[in-house]
Amino acid sequence: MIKLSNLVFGAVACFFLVLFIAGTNAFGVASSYNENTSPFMVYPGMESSVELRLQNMIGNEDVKVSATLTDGAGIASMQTEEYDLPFGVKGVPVIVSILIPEGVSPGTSYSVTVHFESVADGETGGVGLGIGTDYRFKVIVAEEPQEQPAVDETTTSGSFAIWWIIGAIVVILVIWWIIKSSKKTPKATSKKRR
Amino acid sequence: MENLKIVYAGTFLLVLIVLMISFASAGVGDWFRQITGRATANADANVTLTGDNEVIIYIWNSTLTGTVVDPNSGSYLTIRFNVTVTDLDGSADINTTSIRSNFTRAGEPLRENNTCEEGPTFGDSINFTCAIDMWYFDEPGVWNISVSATDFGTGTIVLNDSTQFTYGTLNEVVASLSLISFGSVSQGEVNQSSSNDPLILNNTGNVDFTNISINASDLIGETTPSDYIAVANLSVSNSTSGSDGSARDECLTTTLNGVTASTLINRTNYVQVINTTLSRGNLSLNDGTAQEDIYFCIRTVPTGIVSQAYSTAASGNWVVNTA
Repeated sequence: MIKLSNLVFGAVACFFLVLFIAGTNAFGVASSYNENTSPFMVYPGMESSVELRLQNMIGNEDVKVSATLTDGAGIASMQTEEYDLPFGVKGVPVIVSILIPEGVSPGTSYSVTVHFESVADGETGGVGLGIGTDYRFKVIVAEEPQEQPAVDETTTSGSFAIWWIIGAIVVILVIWWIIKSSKKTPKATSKKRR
Repeated sequence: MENLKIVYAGTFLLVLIVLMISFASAGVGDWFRQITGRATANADANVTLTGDNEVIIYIWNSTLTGTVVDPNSGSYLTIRFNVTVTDLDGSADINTTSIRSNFTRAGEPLRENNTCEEGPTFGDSINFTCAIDMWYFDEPGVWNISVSATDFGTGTIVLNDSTQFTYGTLNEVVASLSLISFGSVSQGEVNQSSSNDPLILNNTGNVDFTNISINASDLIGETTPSDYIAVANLSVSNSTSGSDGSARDECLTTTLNGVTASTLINRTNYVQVINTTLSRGNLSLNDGTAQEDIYFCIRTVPTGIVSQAYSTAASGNWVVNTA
């Protein structure tokens, strides 16, 4: 029943969406990183990249989209390119390279912006409209984790074993001493009785 | 005397054992695990309640980790993940209809599924596949995964809520129009609103936009390109009702009752449509949520230009930008 109501809700929602967005002109830009809830974490001197992903899931038309880095904050770079997005496609990658200089203090934050816009010939008969969007994500410099000193496992386990052996020997000696002591005591008692 | 010796010896042995353990263990828990041979660390969460007969739930969040979880534009995305439920009393003791799963994030609605699909049984365990729909307007970021199950023997509901996944960010706005028209206008006419606006912008992603701007261009004559309507004659607003009784809001040249229109400029810069925001939300509420309307106006039709069609065919489409 719950599944059915979910299905009904989904169908109704999709119906309304179709009504709202008839005659559409759209594309989407997705990523695992953004400027508020999911920053991209890097270390000083680190070279990395952020993948933005294009999708064209609404409107039933193919679109062409241009991508331009409008604010690289001195750490980001990318090629300005155009991407063909056939209708229904999702996950077309746009790569933004990130290079953090050595010596940057942990906690330093950068805001990177990539501008996307639809590419089309001008329309006759009026004002042709295209869609653009600025995708922003934050890059935060984190403290590089300290390298753990290499642990010689052979030595560690070896010394561990030695301690166990020494311990075992001591335990055996103590038990032997207790037994020996307890055997001596009754003899002394019996002599006294005589 | 004999008893005293035994007490001394016992104390000595105890101290010795404690000393030996301190060389290799971080605590009593580690010491216990060393003796039992149990693992001291596990990448995935594993919840076991006290008692042998209750179920153990194992969420295979690795089925989500490392995968792309991007929202679907204007729709839902079904996210599947695997769960293993184990009962040491045997798999037959697992209540297979009791599996519940949900995704939660502070301030966001619950996303849940109460019917995880039963998969194969192996030994004391049964695999289940849970599928939860996430909507395009759900907030990006870290979401918590919770799974609960119970058994017939104890009836105890065991909850595992120690795993998470990251829901992606989606910037997407869908425009209702691809062409704005003004119909037929005459030279010298003023305050001519578009004949087919508003342009409705629908936020079909999960980002809150605070700035809607337009990069515009002159309208060039289609037959006599030397004649044109300068874009500075055009203006935009997110309001249309006539605030002063004569001109519509999108045609205003000054702020009136808090309403104003923005004058467009030719290509050099984006012009912000004042007072516009476009928050994420459920469009199917049909109450203006996640929507913004834009209205267009020709404030003055220039004189001395040829009567012909004027358009952006030669100057290029305008771009409505969201940021």
